[in-house]
Amino acid sequence: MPEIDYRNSEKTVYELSAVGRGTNLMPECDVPKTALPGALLRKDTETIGLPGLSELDVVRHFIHLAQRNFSVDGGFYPLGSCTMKYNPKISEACARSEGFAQSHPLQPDETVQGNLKLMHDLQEWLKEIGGFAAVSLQPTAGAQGELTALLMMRAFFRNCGETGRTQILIPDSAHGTNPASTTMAGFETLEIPSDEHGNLDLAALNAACDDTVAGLMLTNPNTLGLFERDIETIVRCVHDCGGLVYGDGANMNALAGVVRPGDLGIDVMHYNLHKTFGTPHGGGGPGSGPLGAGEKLAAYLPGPLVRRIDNVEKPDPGYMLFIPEKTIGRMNSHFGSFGVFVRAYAYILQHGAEGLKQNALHAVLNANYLREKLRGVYPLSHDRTCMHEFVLQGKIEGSSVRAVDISKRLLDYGFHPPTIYFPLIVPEALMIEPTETESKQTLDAFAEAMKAIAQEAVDRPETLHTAPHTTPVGRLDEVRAARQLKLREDDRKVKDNLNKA
Amino acid sequence: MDRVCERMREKKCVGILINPIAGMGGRVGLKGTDGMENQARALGARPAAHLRATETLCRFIQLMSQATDFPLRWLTCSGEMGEAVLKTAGIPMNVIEIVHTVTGKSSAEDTRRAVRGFMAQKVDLIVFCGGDGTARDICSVAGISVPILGIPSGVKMFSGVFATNPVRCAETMLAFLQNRLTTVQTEVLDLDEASYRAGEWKVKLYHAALTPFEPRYMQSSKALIENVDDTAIRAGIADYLLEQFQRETPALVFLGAGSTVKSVGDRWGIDKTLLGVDAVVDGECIGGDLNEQQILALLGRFKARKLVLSPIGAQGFVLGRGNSQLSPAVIRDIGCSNIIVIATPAKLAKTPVLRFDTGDAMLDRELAGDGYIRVVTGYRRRTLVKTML
Amino acid sequence: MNFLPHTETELREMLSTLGLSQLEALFADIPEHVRFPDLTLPSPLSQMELEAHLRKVAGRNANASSHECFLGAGAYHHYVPATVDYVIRRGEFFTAYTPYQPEASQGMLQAMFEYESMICQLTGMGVTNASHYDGATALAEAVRMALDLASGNRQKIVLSPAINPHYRETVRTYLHGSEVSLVGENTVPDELDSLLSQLDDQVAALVIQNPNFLGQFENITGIAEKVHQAGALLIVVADPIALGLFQSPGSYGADVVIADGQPLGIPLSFGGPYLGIFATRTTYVRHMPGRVVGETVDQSGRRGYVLTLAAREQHIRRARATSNICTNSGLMALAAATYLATLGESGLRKVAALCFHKSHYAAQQLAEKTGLEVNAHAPSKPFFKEFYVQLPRPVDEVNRILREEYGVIGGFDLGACYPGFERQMLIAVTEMNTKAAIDRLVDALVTVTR
Ligand SMILES: Cc1ncc(COP(=O)(O)O)c(C=O)c1O
Repeated sequence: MPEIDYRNSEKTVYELSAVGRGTNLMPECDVPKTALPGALLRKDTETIGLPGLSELDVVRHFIHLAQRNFSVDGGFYPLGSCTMKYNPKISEACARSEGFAQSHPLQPDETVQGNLKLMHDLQEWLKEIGGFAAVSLQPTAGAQGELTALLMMRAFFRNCGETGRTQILIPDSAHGTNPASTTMAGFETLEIPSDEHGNLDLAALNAACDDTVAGLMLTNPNTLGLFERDIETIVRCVHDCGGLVYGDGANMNALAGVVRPGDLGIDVMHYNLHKTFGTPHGGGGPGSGPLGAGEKLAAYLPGPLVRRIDNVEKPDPGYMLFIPEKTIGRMNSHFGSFGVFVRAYAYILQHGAEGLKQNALHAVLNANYLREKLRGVYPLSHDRTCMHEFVLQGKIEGSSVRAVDISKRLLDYGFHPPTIYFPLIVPEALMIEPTETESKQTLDAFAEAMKAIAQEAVDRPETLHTAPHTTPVGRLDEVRAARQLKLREDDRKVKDNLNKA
Repeated sequence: MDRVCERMREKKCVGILINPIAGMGGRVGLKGTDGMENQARALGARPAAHLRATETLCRFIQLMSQATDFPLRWLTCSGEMGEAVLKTAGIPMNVIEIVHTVTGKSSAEDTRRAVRGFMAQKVDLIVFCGGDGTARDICSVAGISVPILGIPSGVKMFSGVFATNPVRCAETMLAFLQNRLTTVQTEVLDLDEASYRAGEWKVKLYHAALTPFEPRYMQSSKALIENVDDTAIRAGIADYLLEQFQRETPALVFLGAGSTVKSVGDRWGIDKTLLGVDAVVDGECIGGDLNEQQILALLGRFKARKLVLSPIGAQGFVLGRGNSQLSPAVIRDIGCSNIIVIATPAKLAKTPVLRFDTGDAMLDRELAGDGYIRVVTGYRRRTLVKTML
Repeated sequence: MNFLPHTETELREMLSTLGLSQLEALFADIPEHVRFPDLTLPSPLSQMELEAHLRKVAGRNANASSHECFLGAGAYHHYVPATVDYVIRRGEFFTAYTPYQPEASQGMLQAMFEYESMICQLTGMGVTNASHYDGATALAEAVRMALDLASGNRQKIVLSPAINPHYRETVRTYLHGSEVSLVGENTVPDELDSLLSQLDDQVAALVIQNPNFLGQFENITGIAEKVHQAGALLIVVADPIALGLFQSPGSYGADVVIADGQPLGIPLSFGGPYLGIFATRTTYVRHMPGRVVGETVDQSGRRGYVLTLAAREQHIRRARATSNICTNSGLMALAAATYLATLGESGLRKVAALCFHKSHYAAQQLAEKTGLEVNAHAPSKPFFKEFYVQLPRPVDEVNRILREEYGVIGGFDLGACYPGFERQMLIAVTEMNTKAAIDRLVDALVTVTR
């Protein structure tokens, strides 16, 4: 095993640690002490194994780490299917209000009327935007929304006595979480091919629809960035065989204010507040995946939900929690990602109906503009007007470079790469989602970089094969990471540092 | 120089093998050239294999020149079985090693000797120019220990080891040697030439083979996952079938031919034959490599039955290539609704359309469904796949 | 108000590049009869209006800053060091996506590697993933992992009734789609023995919470041996602060350790976002749900970090997933890492000790001054930072008076979840409650319960 070279590598908290160093920020104990139950304690000889750092060590370390991270605040981040739009700073200020940040989830309803109002309004607005009968804010991410909806479908069919419905139809362009959620919910997946226009193959759908089908999971616009033109036929086809249609709302940024999925016949759909409604992705979460349901499934939503208290005597009777009648039960500890609700609430309230629509129009404009700029430079997956994103192929005639090489080279040009190799049905896919908050200058600069890279692919492909060249580390050996697993700092290193005293 | 880079630049070794007469028979209407060379020449056929091989290698050299510092060792046979073409393509003599010298007219035995020579030197890849017959000769020695890649030039190419054309072949060679590809198991099929010339059309399955393959990307969230091999997916398919059979309890399960179905048998702990149709009752294999009569006899004894099949070879034939024991009579007796087709996504990517050719057109139509069939592609997962007659 | 950058001129230029005269033309694929609906949403607010409005909404909540908080039951009011918010607010972390491009995400990846290292130390386990949504979902995924490890041959899970009721409910929801049965919940919360008697060859895992939902430590002597003898896994739900002082579940044989990481520098925030901690034995790493970060080198041998083991069972057999998690709680894990790095070894011990001493002082004062019974069902069992008192009146009544007359957010009503625990109030005391505040609570309860 070759020695690791530590040049330019940021030390870990353990490498920075010194025994006995630390910040004493806790108060002295102001009550008489009680004898500790000796038998339950960590042994005297046993250290926990946490580092000893001064506060400055901590701050400097994490700032160094921050400097080694690409972000929307730092640059263009056209990661397809992720909607990396600007996250308004005003939302942060609002979410940190003590009334929100310091309220306890088990406080009685009458002490958290502000929170309940906020959740209630957000529920109502999401209902309006999506065209649904009810919304539960509880799912903590898109994937949890999927699982929740599938469990609701299961409960629905059990109640109808239709236990023979075991299959969920999923297009071959779907996101990996769709089949994963399907299995988790105890269903089987039947994958439906796409047609040459990038839409769901209707003939195949027809062949698939029978009385074993529980439902279809459909992303619309799909992961090619294309609107399912036959959406109404698709929905009818599934409904006619007795199935339900799930909408994966990851791509709702193209549709908010443009069309309501509920109006298209979608029975249940998750929203990603961390995509469409501008809440930050946090380097991997937290997210929020509220679920909208039509009449058929509304009663199955996970509770509690919020409603206005009926009381004609009081002018402002307030809000209360309630559990939907046939609920599948709760999906997590409390109400979901409340902190994210505050930001999404602020986002919707800043935009209003017209603002949301303008966002969608501009998101779609930016995608089509960029697509036009890159036409002829890289092959397009499908030559059609796209929605908020589009897919190119990372292939250049006469060159051995691949999508992964192009994406790594983009880092040298100061851009975050698009999503690559997704959807799987497009070879060497580069999935580009510029979002509405990027300026024309940025889009033009990105297009120029993509063109320059296409030229390099022919002139000096090796530069691309070995890219990136300007990041703190070069292309990393993922095979080694998986073969020689090191998922934590060595015990030995931790102990050495702690016992050095 | 650190070792990671060293490893990446480790010298790779390719074996090149050319069957100089490959393809001659086809142009003059013969189904194959083995033993028919003189007849083919008499009918006016001219050797073309060396042209296709040269085209492939020239393209490869051109692609390779773009990649810096990429040393390669070439192993081959003397004369027109390799050496000549390597020279024409401009590969310097100092990196070529002749592992077998051909004396007189080249023969299948020369091919086998050469492959033994390649294996002794631990080649990374064998590239050959020929057809199914050549693939068969190579695999009879190499088995699944070395990946093989065919430059298409034979009369028959039912096997799953051929590139679509010389240019793609060169690209695949380079990508594989640069560690950008993985391998997949496939089958080597060949027309039974003797019975063909006797008027009988019979494609037989001869060997399992390994061939370079575009890695199948598995995508979970935005993470890109290269599916290094198919083993886990095959295990998932096997587990799923077992789960279903536990529910439906068919008394008799036939496992068809080919490497995918074999790995299902392996997962079940059954000593499944690679090339034949085997019968399983109560988790025990009660007959391996059964012929048509044996299958029919078993069907007479058990009512609840299933047949597990997987497409074999390059053209996506589920029936009609390499499994002639599954005759129309057998299939009708089993019943179309009792057939389960399985395939890994990697394999389906190679054969996106499935076909049936039992010799009974009505039956084929029934098997092909309404243009799509459900194929088991993983644990609790099926894919709707187009069929063609 | 919005954040769109294009000027009128730019807009025209871009449209003409597309050969269009108006934006709406891009939406021809959408069925006309439902295109561009009139949405009934409030009219937009400017930033200052928005701030004022939200301040007003937030102002309608009682909270742990405006009141003295003695409510816990799974979410706790602990001190959040200033470093934590400072670090997580950095836009480089805050506005990044999941680190799928490792060369451009070394910061988040290294932070997650350090988080994993520190959580392993804390729990005494070999591996930790890079977070779940919260404690309840982490537990549901742990249960699924145990079922998966048993390859479908074991279909029972023994759940202690003394596990957070919301966690149990979440587990139940997650298992809706399966044939698995949950047992043990109707045993008496204080009797581990009756729980152990449920073990048989159908049990995939036994789950306990320690300290349990009632705040008390379970008698864990020999429990791991019994569970393992039955061929099952021992899953322990822990309190990460308690682990600063008390034995780690790893040291007493746990196979999976679950916790909500909220006490580690994450505000109460009305229940979320929180942090699901999931740690397990190294042998189970390939079955562990969620993402995991590993160390590796780049082309020239420099150290770096990547998301690894993606090709685990759950992903390769995409449809065989034991987990579908994608977006997780990355930023909350970063908060926990900053918290643990800031407090360090001695700091965490100290917080744990403060919680222990202050809660014991409160319990002792209450027993002495009000004469009310503390931990009536198991008075001799040791506890950590929560205990319960038997009130002479309904808990919600007492809580209303505490809030309205004394500015106190009182404890949790155990009667709502446990039959036989009517009028029992679960009180949480942390380092945030000063002696003076505890004394005020005691005085108040003296008056209220007289
Ligand atoms: C199409 C699609 N569906 C589902 C998801 C899962 O959403 P989440 O990450 O919020 O769980 C994503 C996430 O990126 C997605 O792109």
